[in-house]
Parts: sequence; C-alpha cells; structure tokens
Amino acid sequence: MRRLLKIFRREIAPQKPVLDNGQVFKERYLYFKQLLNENNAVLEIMADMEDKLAGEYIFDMNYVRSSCNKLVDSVQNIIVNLDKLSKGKYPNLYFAFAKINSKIEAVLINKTDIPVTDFTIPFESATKEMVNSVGGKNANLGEIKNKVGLPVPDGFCISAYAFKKFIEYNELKDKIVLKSVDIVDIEGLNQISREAQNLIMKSQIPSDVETSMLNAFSELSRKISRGVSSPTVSVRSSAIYEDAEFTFAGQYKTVLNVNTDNLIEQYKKVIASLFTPRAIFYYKSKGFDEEDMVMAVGVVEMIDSKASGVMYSHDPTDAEKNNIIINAVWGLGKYAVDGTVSPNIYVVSRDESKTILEKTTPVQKVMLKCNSEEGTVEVDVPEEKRATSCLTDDQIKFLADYALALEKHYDRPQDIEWALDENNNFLILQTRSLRILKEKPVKNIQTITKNHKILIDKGQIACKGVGAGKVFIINKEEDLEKFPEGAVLVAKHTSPQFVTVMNKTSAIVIDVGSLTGHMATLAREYKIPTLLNTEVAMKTLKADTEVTVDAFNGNIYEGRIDELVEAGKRENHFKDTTVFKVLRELLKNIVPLNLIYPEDEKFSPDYCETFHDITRFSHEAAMREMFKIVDNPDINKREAVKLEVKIPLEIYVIDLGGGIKSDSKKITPDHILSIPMNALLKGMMAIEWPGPPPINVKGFLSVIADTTMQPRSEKLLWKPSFAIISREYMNFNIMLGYHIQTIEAYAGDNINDNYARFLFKGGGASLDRRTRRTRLIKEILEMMDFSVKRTGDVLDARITKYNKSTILKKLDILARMTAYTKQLDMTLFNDAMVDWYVKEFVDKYYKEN
Amino acid sequence: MSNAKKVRDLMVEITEYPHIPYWMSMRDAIFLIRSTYNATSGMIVHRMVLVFDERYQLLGVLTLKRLLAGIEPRFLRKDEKSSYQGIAHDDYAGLATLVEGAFSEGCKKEAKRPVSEVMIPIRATVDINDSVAKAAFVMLHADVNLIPVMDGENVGGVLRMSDVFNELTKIIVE
Repeated sequence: MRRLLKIFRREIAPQKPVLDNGQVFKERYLYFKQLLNENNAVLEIMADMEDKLAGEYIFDMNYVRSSCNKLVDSVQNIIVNLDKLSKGKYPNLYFAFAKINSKIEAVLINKTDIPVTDFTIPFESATKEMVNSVGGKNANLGEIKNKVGLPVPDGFCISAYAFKKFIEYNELKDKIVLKSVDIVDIEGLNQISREAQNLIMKSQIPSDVETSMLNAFSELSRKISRGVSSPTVSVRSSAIYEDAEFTFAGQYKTVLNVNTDNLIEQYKKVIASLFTPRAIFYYKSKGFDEEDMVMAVGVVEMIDSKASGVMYSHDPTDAEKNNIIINAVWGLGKYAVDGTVSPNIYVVSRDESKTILEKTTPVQKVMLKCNSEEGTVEVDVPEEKRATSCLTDDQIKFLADYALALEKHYDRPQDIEWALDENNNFLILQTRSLRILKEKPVKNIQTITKNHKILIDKGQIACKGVGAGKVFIINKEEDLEKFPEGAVLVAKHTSPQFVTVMNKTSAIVIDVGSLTGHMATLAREYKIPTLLNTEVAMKTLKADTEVTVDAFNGNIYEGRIDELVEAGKRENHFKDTTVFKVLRELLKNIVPLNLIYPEDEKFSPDYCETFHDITRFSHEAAMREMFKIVDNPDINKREAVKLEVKIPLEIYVIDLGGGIKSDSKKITPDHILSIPMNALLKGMMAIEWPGPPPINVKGFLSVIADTTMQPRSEKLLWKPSFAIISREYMNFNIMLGYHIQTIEAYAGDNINDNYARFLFKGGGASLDRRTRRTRLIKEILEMMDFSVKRTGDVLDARITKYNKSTILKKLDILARMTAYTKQLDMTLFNDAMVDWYVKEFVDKYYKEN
Repeated sequence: MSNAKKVRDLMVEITEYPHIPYWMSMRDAIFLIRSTYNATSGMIVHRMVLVFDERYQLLGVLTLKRLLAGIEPRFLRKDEKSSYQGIAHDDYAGLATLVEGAFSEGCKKEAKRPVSEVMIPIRATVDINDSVAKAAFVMLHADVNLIPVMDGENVGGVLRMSDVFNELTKIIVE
C-alpha cells in the first residue's frame, strides 16, 4: 500500500489543475484497492476450505476456526471499505453479515453436554443411551448386560461428571490448552502431551469423588470376591465418543489387574491417557474440540482369561463376504489386539450352519496372564497348547452366535472383544460398531507381471487400496517423528501409535499383525492401503526406495506405478469425520453464490445468504462506484472511457495521469501512453482468440450442462473489464469467461519500483479442472520467474525489481497466457493435459520471447 | 425385470467425460483422448469427448471415427468424387500404397481445424426418469453411442450404449 501511495504521489502531483478531484479520487482508489485485497483474501480462504473438503488433506477444528475468523475479518473489511467508497449506500450489508455470521457461530459452537449424575454408576444401571454420562465403552457393556442379556464382567462406571469435577477442582481447563496444537508437528504434540499428563498425575481427586469410588469398589469386591480376599479389577478408559461413531481403537489406556490400593492412581493414569500424543492427534484430526475430551472410566472385574480375542460379525474388508471372523490367543486379549502375537483365525459362515470355513492356528509361544499380586506378566504357553487351537469347534460356533446376537441388537456389524474364563464361560468385554469398507467398486485391478518387479507377493489385506511412496522403516517409536510426507510405513509389528502419521502415510506394510488389531481398525478408519503379515518386508524393502503397495492383490512392486495408483484411488480419507461435517456445514453459509446477475432485482444486500454473496455484491458495487460509465466521459474527471480494440474484450480505461494522449470519448490502442498497458495490449492482440461459435449448431440444444452447480449466462461471460492507468502504472481487472483476473504492474526507470502482479480466480468447469488450470498457470509463471502462491482455483503471483524492458516482456507473455487459458479449464480432464498445454504454450509463445 | 431400471440408475456424471470447447482443434481433442490411455489394460479409457460452447451448453460429441475421418486428408474421402491418380476409391489396396506418405503430412494440417467441424451434433436426449428400454430405443434410432440425460432443464449426465447393452441383455444370460 505504501508503494501505491508513492506511485500516486508521483503520478498525481504534477496534475495541478485537477488536484482536488485527484485527491478525492486517490482516497476512493485506496478504499477500492483495500476492498480488492480483502476480496482476494476471501477468495483464497474459501478456495482453501473447499480444497480441504476434497479430502486430500487432514485438518482439525483449529484450522476451521482460524479460517472462519480470517474470513469474518476480511468480509467485514470489505463492507467497511465499500461503505467508505460509496458513502454509506449499503447499510443492509451489515445486517446480512450479522445474519450469516450468527449462523456460522452456531455451527462452530457445539459443546458436549455432561449431565449431572452420581460419581459412580453400577453396570446394572447403564445403557447405551447414557454415553454422555458413562462413556461409550461402559454404555455398551451396560447395554449388553441389561438389554441383550449376554454375560459381561461385573463392574461400575466412574462417570463423566466425576471427571468434570476432577478437572474443575484442579483448574485443569485453564492449564491444559490444546487449541494451538498443530497436529502435524509431532514434537510439539509430544511436548503438550507430556505437560498435560504430568498435570493430571499431580492433581488431587476431590474427596467426595474419591469416597464414591472407594465405596463402589468395596461393593464390587463383595460381589466378585468368590472367596478371594482381595479381588482385582481392570481400569478401562471409556471416553464420551469412544466406541460410538469413532472407534478410538487402542488410543486410551486400560490398566489390568489393579487392586484397591492403587485404584486412585490408576484412575488418574487412564484419565491422563486422554492426552497421549496419539489420542490428541486422533481427537483433533477427527474434528473434536478439547471441550469434547471427556473421559469416564470403567472399573471391571478382572478376568484372568484362559483364551481371549476379538471377533467381527462381518468381514470388514469385504462387505460382499458373508462371514464372521474370530481371532483368539492364549491368555489375556491384549496380545491379540496389539499385534504381539499372530492369533488363531477362524472364519465362520453367518448362516444357520455356522460352518467353520477357515481355521488358522499359528504357534503361540508366549501369552499374557495376571500377576499374582498385581499387573500382568508374560509367561510361556505350555508346550502342548502352543500349536493347538485356542477354541474347540463348538466354542467357535457358540461365539459366532454371540456376534450375531450383538449385531442384531445394535442393527449394524460389531467389533467385539471376548474372553474365556477358567471355567470355560465366555464373557463379552467390549463391543463397538465395525467399520466396513463400502465404497463404489474400484476398477478391476490386476497383478502386473510385465515390466515391473514384484518384491513381495504375500500378506493379509487389512485395508484395500493402492499407495506408492518411499519406504520408511519404523524400528522404534521415535522414528515416527521423522516420518516423511507420502512415505510407505514399514514395521515389524503393528502399533496404534502409527495413527499419528496416518495423515501422511501412502500405505502401511507390517510383517506381523492382526486384521482385528487396533492398528488395522485405524488404518481402515483413515483408509490407508494396508498389508499385514508380509513376514519379510523389513528384510526385503530397502529404506528410501520407491515402492507401490497394491493392497487389492497383496503385491508390493519395485518403483512407482502411476497407473496402479490412479486405478486404486479411493474415496476421500476423512470424509466421514465430524470435522468434515462441521466444515461442510459451515461452507453452506460461506461458498454458494446466489447473487449472479447484477441486473437482477435480487442482486442486493437483502438477498445475501453467504459470505460469497456479500463479497460478490461488494465487488460489483465497488466496481460500479469506482468506474462509473457515463455517456460522455471526461478523462480529466477520471471517468471511464471505452477502448476500441480488436479483441473480444470490452475495456474501459481510467487515466490517473499521463496514461492517455487524447481527450476523445472513445480511444484506440494508439492513444494509450501507459507503458505497461501498451505491452499488455500488444500481447493480447498478437494471439489468436477463439473464433465464433459454429453457426450450424449454435443454440441447437439450449440446455445448460451444469458442471459447477452455478447457473451460466452470457451476461457473466462478457462483462466489461476495467483498467486504471498512468504512464508507468496499470491495474487491469479482466472478466473473461467465468474467471476474474487482475494484472497490476509498474514499469518505470527505477528498478526498485518495478513489479508485476497476476491474480486469478474461478472458472466455469468443475473444481478439479479449475484447479488444474491454476496449476498450469503456475507452471508457466514460475518459468517466468514469478513467485506464485496457489490454493485450489485461486492464484496470486508476483515479480519485483526487474528492469523496465523485462517487466514489459513478462506483461506480453501474461497477455498471451490470458488469451491462451481462457476457458481452458474445460479441457483439463487429467494432469497429462496440463503438462501438454504447458509445453504447447512454451513452444508457441514463450520461446520466441 | 432388469429393463425396469431407470436411466438415472445407469447414467454417468458428465464430469467423468473429457470436455472440449468447440473452438479447440482436433489435435487438442486427439491428445485429450490419448491422455486417457491406460497402459495396464492397454485401452483408451475414453473414446468420446463432449463438445461445449463457452456457456457450457453441450453442442455435440466427438468420436474416434469422426476424429480419424477429420484428420484424413481430403483426397481420402469417399464423398469426394474424383479418384486419386487414376485409382478409384473402391480400389482400396492401390490407395493404401499410394497415400502412405501423404497421410502423415496431410493429417497434421487437417488436425488444426476446430472440433466443431467434425463433431456429431446432439441429435436426441433422454429424460433422467425414462426407462432404460426407452433410452435404448431412442439411441438406436438416433444411431448414437452416447446420449445426454436431461434432469429438468439441465444435462444431468450421459448414458452410454455399453451400459444400456449390459443392462438389457442381462435377461439373455441370466
């Protein structure tokens, strides 16, 4: 802006006779410029938000909020500048803004309500409706016990209300601030996580909560003692959203085999796990707010199970298959879900017969058992059991019935944890909705045998898809911090920790792991192509070499095979998350454009429904205010005169001083003295513009093939373009096809003042095609040494401090590019087309310069 | 019965097809089609390009045949009566030998012509709620392999003969 003022001083100062008029004009032009800048900012933010909705990137509520805040500021500034420019002509814009803003705020403020309840609630009183009081896991256990009638261990819930009291009592809400956490900064995440967990561990449980917990524990002990003097329990996380819409698989802590003395300490540990880096990542990437981070806890009779495992009432990788999948390990189930050992796998048909279709029994050498005092211990599996099935056929069928009963009750497929106690009784430890990949079928992907080397051709598919990238081997947890964007994660064992890099992982390859483990669940949730049990990946795949993982056929190829990646493209990664829903909801009040045609009577502030409407209206009104087209314009009064030029553009010009050599009402390029404008016009006239439509078919089918949900009109296609010029300066707003672009330049003798700027937004084709056009323009501009910022279909490029003749050459090419890219978005069906047109342009128009 | 299906069940979105404005050249269209070649299947994925005007009104369809006919030098055309160096058009063997060299030069020049000159104008449309059988009837009579599907006043998508064929012939193989 300072530069602009400087230019104005220099350009306008010599024009003494019109100084007053010039002063007024200068002020108006500054408002106009500010409005344009804010207008560009709004378009850019909107493009970025729309881009995010395409599902290629991960983002959190923090992003959504800060984008909204920026939008609100810019839209307000637009209104204020228009107000000044028009001298208060549009007061209703303020009302329109307030109306839209309140809708946006209503979407953003959506707090989780924690009901006032007892601090502890026995399982006998819990049902699935009580999620906000007892958390997802507890609510489901209560439901199974009280409504389905299947056996679950005894226990009680420490309520969400108790958690709330704990947080309030220790004033933790002010001390743990997660709003500023950037989820892609793993180191920052770790830091915040450590601080939060320390704070919790050092905090005191309010005495009334503690008393309630200990009383409930005594009551439970009395029920479950069965002759044992001090029975133990497991203390399990049960966050509000856990096991509901989102699995949170393995994100929170469960402490096994706890006795009464340690209950309070272990309760705090479980609560603290709300703030592990991976849990914060999961929470935020799924669009939850820190207000939603509420943890109830379950205190459950400890079952020192003989065998345990996980079962799926449906095959999660293939909705077509009508099978139940049961995994089982000897001992406690932890080893089944964290991938420590390869479990027995039983595939059972879902029909009446419950036929066991497959039975895999790998050798299990170690198992997890309860320690006699407290905690757990790894022990050897007795020799005679190691290679034998954990369950008999009858037991498998019995469990399969449980799976179907739970699915029937919840009316959707279930992911169930079960245990078999020493007396051969089955108990259900947990159930939650199972995510089944139901997408439109991907094109038939075949194994490629020609020209591509297959490195690995075995493995179990945990999540279908194709991903390519450089191999990154994870040996220890800290390696995750260095995980590069787009790499293929290769590790020996599965780990729920891997969730922290799932936003940048192209594919996951694991040598030992289970389809029913936590990590597999998460991979499906984030839709990362995943192969498990590849056995030799750690040995075979070399770090930093490029591979293509085909998790349709279970192949890993050497190198990147684009056609496979393309064919295996999946639906959006994060489309179903809350943060997506919030963004989608917000954009309804931001992006749709209802005000299309300025000549409509509804083109007014009263009909602005979105921020885009306000922006569009204000832009149009500002143009009108700035460039009043009158019948007999007077150049000296800074009125717009029409430029007669043989290109399909209607151009009006305002002279700031020294830009036009005639006083006539209509001017031709010969009258233009503005150095940058002349260069631009020369370039525009040198290129061939699209010819007229074919007469034989014009209007044959008078229909609109609507590709962007926006009505089209001739009126929008050919709007006047406006240029404000002086001898050395030009600001040219061009309406061309369905896009808007601005070329601004200063080309004088002082190299430090010289610059050219190119702004571009929009198009008539679908967003993917429009986005490709900005990529094409970006590539051309970068070849011309412009520094370019591109977001979706918005582009802002500039070049500074070049000598005059270079700036003029650049303007010449910008002009040719302007004509060349007009409605080119229509043709940009794929990226190959972008490359082709870049090459064509360079060959045709760039090299000769 | 399978042919009770509606057009809306089978149509594909218009954005799934390549588009081109009428003023672009056949060369552009040819590159566009070739860019959809898939090396795995060894096939060109899209054999048709939709032609629009600047207001996104659908004007016509470009097919492989039309493009080949378009870039073929004029003397190869059957509708031009004169024979080439004394060889009649029905003497295909003779023609092939003679024009081998000339073809590549001629077609480069021809390919610069706008696609509007060779596209097949939209001859018929079907409604989104029409039955597939009715759509088949319209397509056969209009002799087209692709037909725009109207959803009210807008083009909601396009219907392909291959999908229509698949749907209607199910009854034969079931």
